[in-house]
Formats: sequence, structure tokens, C-alpha cells
Amino acid sequence: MVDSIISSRDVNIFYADKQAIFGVDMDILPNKVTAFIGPSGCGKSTFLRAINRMNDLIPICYMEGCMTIGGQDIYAPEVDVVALRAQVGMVFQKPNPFPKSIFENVAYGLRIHKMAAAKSEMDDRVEWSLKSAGLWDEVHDRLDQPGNSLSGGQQQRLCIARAIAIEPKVILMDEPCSALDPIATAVVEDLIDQLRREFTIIIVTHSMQQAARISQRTAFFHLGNLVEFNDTKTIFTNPVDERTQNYITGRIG
Amino acid sequence: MIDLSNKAGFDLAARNRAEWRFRLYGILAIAVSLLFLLTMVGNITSTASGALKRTEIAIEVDLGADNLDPDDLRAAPWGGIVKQGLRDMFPGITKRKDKKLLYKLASPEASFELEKIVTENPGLVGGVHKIWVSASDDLDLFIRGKVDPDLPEQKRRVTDDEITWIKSLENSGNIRRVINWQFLTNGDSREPEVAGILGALVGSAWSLGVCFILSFPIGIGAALYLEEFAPKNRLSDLIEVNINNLAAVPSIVFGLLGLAMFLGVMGLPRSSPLVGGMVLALMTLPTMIIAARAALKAVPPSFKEGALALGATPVQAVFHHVFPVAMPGMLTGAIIGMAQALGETAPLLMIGMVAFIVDIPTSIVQPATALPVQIFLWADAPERAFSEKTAAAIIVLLFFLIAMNLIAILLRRKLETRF
Amino acid sequence: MENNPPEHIVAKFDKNLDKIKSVILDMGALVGTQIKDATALWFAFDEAEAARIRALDLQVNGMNSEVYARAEVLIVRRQPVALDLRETLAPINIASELERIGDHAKTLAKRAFLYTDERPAKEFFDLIAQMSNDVQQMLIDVLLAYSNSDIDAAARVREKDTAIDDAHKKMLRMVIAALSEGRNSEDLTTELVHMVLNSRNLERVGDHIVNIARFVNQIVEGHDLKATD
Repeated sequence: MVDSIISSRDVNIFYADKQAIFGVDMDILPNKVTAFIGPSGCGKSTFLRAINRMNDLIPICYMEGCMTIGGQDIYAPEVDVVALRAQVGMVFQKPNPFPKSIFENVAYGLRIHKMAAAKSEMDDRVEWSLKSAGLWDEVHDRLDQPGNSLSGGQQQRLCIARAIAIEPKVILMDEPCSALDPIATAVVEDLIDQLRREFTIIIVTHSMQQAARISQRTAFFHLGNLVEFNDTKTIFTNPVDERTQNYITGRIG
Repeated sequence: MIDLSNKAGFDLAARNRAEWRFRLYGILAIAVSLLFLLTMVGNITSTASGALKRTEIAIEVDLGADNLDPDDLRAAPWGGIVKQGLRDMFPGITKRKDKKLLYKLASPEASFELEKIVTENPGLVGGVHKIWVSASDDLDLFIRGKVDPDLPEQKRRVTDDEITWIKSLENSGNIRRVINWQFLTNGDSREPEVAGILGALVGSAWSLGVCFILSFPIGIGAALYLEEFAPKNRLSDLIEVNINNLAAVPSIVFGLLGLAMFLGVMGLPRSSPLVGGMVLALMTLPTMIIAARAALKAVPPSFKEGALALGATPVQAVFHHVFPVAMPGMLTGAIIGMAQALGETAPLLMIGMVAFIVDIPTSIVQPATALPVQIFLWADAPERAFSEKTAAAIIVLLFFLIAMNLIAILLRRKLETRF
Repeated sequence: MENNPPEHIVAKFDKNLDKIKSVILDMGALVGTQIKDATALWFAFDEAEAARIRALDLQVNGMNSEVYARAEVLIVRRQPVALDLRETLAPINIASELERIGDHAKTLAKRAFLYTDERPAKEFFDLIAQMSNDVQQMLIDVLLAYSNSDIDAAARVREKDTAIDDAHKKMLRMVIAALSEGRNSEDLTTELVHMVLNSRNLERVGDHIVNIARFVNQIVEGHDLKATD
């Protein structure tokens, strides 16, 4: 049994007095793609954003319970959220490249964390990131052009390159393909599968087919509860819980 | 066959009429506004056209050693020289009363003009020269046909004798009309024929400079903090409401505040552009903060989120990604605020920038006046020629407003980032 | 056992699945009568009837193809998962089992042409009739179990198969006993061998029905019984 990299124990998340997540226990394995599925408002995005504490930005949102990464409680008082986010990257639903050049988009994380001292080192890291994101061949001759001159799918891969440039342990993806066409989606899905070797990936998706295609583990959230968390194969062939079955087969549950 | 014409029912006739009516209202509204605007601009321009040119009169002055000492030009009796020149041109006039009238053909400022010309061209000293100096405003008005000679003599400002003299001067080519550059290069004066706008312009520029230096950093800083960092609670709500209210406070109230605070408590120099700029900054701040906050709000939150998710600190996220994108909008807001300040009169009246100041201010602590105040002063002056100056000053003011708005547009074009 | 899952949000999905199910049930009913009629031929041969039964084979094959085609379209259109996927894939297997049952019925009918004047004793025919009735009942039961997603009924069907196996063994013993008496004519010997073959066909039908019962189990429970049996 491989040790989990992220563990949550009895995690409850509230928006003011409305509870969004109810006592979630979850162990996420390293170097796997874990998919969160569930209907809108089921809390899957909220739970995802608790992993890099993006929920901190919402003043009325607070969390109870224990969430650890590599055994460290990320909500402990001595934790610096900047250090956490350097280890847990995030890719958003809508591609959001910075209004800067392609190069600067990827270099930004390296710059703020002072991870590349020399110009040549910076160039190397940017090239590595773009190659890892499968974007190098498409953009290497126009790195100085603005990031938003790329197509939607390329922008999303640029955002992935930006996230992996600082080599986090975990990458969170919040519906990364929902704004992309099927071809761009396929390219990103293939990329996610490649990245799994070096990173742990957690992806929230509304597309069950996508969860089935790219993930090894799938968690089904319903009304703030983690209903079922199992191997993707099991979830999509023979789920244990009736609510999971009804959701993935598109039944009125 | 499917009927696709406007007779196909669906109440189309009435709906199309409503459509057409609405467009008509719109066009009418625009037409009315344009009409008002054109009337205003036309009126001002036609009034101001009188100030476009000025009248000069040529006087033969004797700059010989009898009259002045070449080593001490300042002590020379310039007024006497001018008068002597005028007398020499009309030797027939002997009566004291007539001489006085004769002297009034030239502007009272003519002696200063003569002094300036001779000082700048020392070669003139020693000979008799024909020198062009400003004519009086009455002569100017008469030349431009603004005085009706058919009126009884008592009812006009120009006597029959004067008319004879002017006609003779005109015939001998000793009166000319020139472009009134002096309007832009002179300070204020009691005499409309030489009064210029430069003093007010410089005063306005100093004031606006002070206003910008104070209000832009403070406004942007306040907006950044309120929009991006301040916790959202009752206090910040209260501050927001107050800022919005301040933007609506009549500007004269800021003038009173400036009078009490800057002059009364802090003892800063009265009538100075420093205090004017400070008062204008107070007035501009709310506008600037509101505009800057709107510009910051318009930046997609995804930039900040993306930066934070990469591990940027909140200040880094804001200054690296939000601020640059919002900058053009904030600058535009600032310039529009400044344009408002440029046109502001009331608060400047309160802090004494309404004084009659001839000298052109060379620092922010010297007494000065501002363009709109100058307009106000001239509009109040009894001399008829000042009403033309007023219109001309308004045109200068409008020109500056348009220039500032143009700068705002250009800056936005240049700095705008697409996203 | 009434434990039907709730309806799909997309009503057409339910209709598509129901249609596949009804084709299977029609197909099952058809092969059931095929067995019944083929068995009857052994008691009273009718050449025209025999030809009709053999011709039914084409219809059965057509229904098998229809099940496959419908499942194919359903996968393309709805991307079924979990229960839906099993409900889509299992009918393909069930239809092919039913088709094999039809083949056995066809063989029974074909073999009836070879009847001779010398008939074996009545007990042989009784046993054939009993086996035929049993497998027909099993077929009905398994189709009901499939239709109702009833795994208990499916389990009972599997249990019944031992009776068919026993009957086949009994037939084998009876024929061996009859042949070992050694006084049989060539015709009778042929008939006795045919009796074994018929019994063997019916026994195979029972096995296919058991397979169908397993698929019913797989649909409901999500795992293959063969792997755990």
C-alpha cells in the first residue's frame, strides 16, 4: 500500500453559517490522477480549493478538521500559505494567462520565488516547463508574444506550464477543459496523463467521461458529502453507492 | 407560402412605428444638445474674435540725449516721451484738455512697452524712431466699428475730436491691427488692451501640478488598499459611502476647509498655487479614488487568483498583475479629475486666488490666480473690451480641457492591455 | 424482487434499454416455442412443420443482429456506464446464447426427419418430453428473471439445471442398457442413438439457459459469476 500524499480527516467547510462540506475523510495517492465528480454545488470545487487554501480568499469561508500534505497540517498556524501554494499549484476553469508575454507567464513563478538566478537558468526552466506542457514546439519561436494571443487550448497548457515551472508536488485543476473544444481537451487530457509521472494531480470535472478517461481514482461528492471514493474503474463499472450509480448513469436520484 | 413581409401580423406595423419613434427621439435629443453646444461655442468664439487682434499706434519718439540717459534707461521719463511723441504728431493741439484726450489715444501701458522695446534694442537710443505701441481700448473699439459715430457725442466714449485724430492717424498709416499674441504672453492688467492670460495659465498649471502630485499617489493608494486589501466590514462600507458622498460635496465646501485648515491652522501663504493645489487635491481625491476603484474592479479577478495560486503574496499579485492592467483606467480617471479641477473656481475664491495679480508666478508659494478665476474676474470688469478677453480666456480654458481629455484617451490607447 | 433503479433523466435512454430488453424477451419466446415444436415433431412427424421450425432459425439470427445493433447505437449515443453499461452489453451475450438454443432446436427438428418405423419404448419418449418441458420452463423462468432483474429467480434457474443433467445421464444409462441387450435392429439402434443426441441437445440448452442466468446476475451484481463459482 502506497502512502497517501494528501489526507483529510473529518473536514467540514462552511460559508458563513451554510455548511458546504460534511466530514470528508479522504486519502489521495501520489502520482495518480484523482477526479472529483458530482453535481453543481456538491462541494467538489470547495474541497479542491481547501487543498491550497484558496478558500482563504473568501472571508466568510472557514474550515474545521484536518488536512495534511505529506503529513503536515496545512492549516497549522506556522504554515505560510505562500509556501503551501508553491507546493500545490492550481489550474483554473477559464484559461487565465497573465497579460504578459508567453515567456513571462512561465517565468513569473520562478521570479517571485527566486528559483532561477541566471538568465540561462531561467531560459532552461521555461523551456523545460513549456516542453513538459507540450507547448514548446508550438510557441518556441514567439515567446515574446502575449500569452493571450494563443488559442484557448494553448492558453490552458500555458497555465499548466506556468504551474509546473515551480515544480509543485500537487497540481489542482478546477474543470480545466470546460472552456475547450474536444480536440484541445484531448491534448490537455493526454498532457495530464503524462504529468502524472512527476506530479500528483487532482481534477474537478463535470464530464464523467473525462473522469473515466484520465483518472485512476474517482471521488463522488453529493450535497457536500463524499459519497464514494474508489478506483475509477470500479466507480464507472460497478459503484457501491446507489447515489453514485444514479449520478453517473444520469438517473433522477 | 410563408409571409415574411411587414404585413405578416404579429402587430408588426405598431412595433415598427415604435422602433422608428424611439430612434427619432434619440436623434432629436442629440440634435438639441448639439444645438446648445454649437450656440455656446459660436457665441464664445464670435465674442472672442474681437480679442484675436489688437490695435497698435505708431508714435515718433525722440530718444535723444535730451530725453534720456543711455546709462540709466530705467530712470528715463518714458511717459513723457510718449506724450511728447503724440503732441509732435498733432502740433495744432494746444489746449490742456485736448492734450489729455490726445494722450488717451495710446494705452496707459504704452510707456512700459516703449521702455521694454528700447531696453531690448539699445541701438535705438539717440535717434528719433517710429515705435508701435498699444492703442487704447477705446481707439481699438472705434477702429473695429464698435462705436457708433452717429450717436450724440455725450453718449459715446469717443469724442468728435478723437474721431478726427484717429481718422488722420489711420490715413497716415500710423494705426495697424496685429495678431494679439500678447494675450498669451502678458499677465493681467487693469487695461484690457494689454491684459493677458499667462499669469492665470501659469497659476493654474502650478495648482494642477500640486493637485496631481498630492491626489494621484494618495488616490491610487487609497483605491488599491480599499479595493484589494481592506477587509470587507462595516468600517470599510462606511468609508466607501463617505467617499462617494464626498465626491458630491459642493466644491466651495472644500474651499472653506482649505481656508480654515491650510491658511488658518497651517499658515500657508494665501493666494498661492500651493494652497490652491491642495484644495483642488481634496476635491479631486474622491473622484480619483472612485475612478481608480472602478478601474481595479474591471480587472478580471482571474489574474490575481492565478498569481496567488502560484504562490505570489497578495501585494505581489496586485502590483504585478492587477495594477498594470488597471493603470490606464486609473490615469484616465485622474486626468478627468484634473480636468474638473482645472475648471473649478469656487474653492479658489475661498483661499484668495481671486486677487488681482500682474506678475507671472514663478513658484508655488507666490500669489497667483487661475484660469477660471481670471475668467470670473474679467467677466466682472466694466470695460467693454474685457468681455472679449473673457470669451478668449474661456476658449483657452476649453482648449486645455480638450487637450487633457485627449491625453487621457491617448494614454488609455497606448497602455491598454487586451485580455 | 422489485428493486428497479430510478428513471433516467433522458427518457429516451430508458426507451432504448427497454427496447433491447423486449427484443431479448421476444427472441426467448421464439426459441422457446421452437424447442416445444421441435420436440413435438418426435411424437408426430410433420414435414411442413419441421421445415417451418428450421426456417425460424433465420428470424432468430436476425433478432440476434438486432440486439447487437441496438446495443451499438446505444453505446454511441449514451455512453452508458455502470448498470447501464451492463444492461447494454449483457443482452449481446444473452442473444447469442438464445441463438445457440435456437440452433439446438433446429438440430432437433432436423434429426426428426430421420425417423424410422421402429420406435423405441415409450419411456425414452417420456424422458425426452420431460426434459423438453423442463428446459422450456427454465427458459421462461430465466427470461422472467432477466426481465425483473431478479437474481434469486436466476439462482433457482441455475439449480434446476442439475435435474436436466441428471435426466441426460439417465437417458445415457437407459440407451446403453437397451443397446447392450444386443438384439436390436439397425433402425432401433439408430433411434436409440438419436435419443441420446436429442437428450444431449436439450442438456446443452439447459447449459445455455444457465449462462443466461449468470448474465442476469452479472447485470444486477456487477461481477461475473463464472469467476467466483
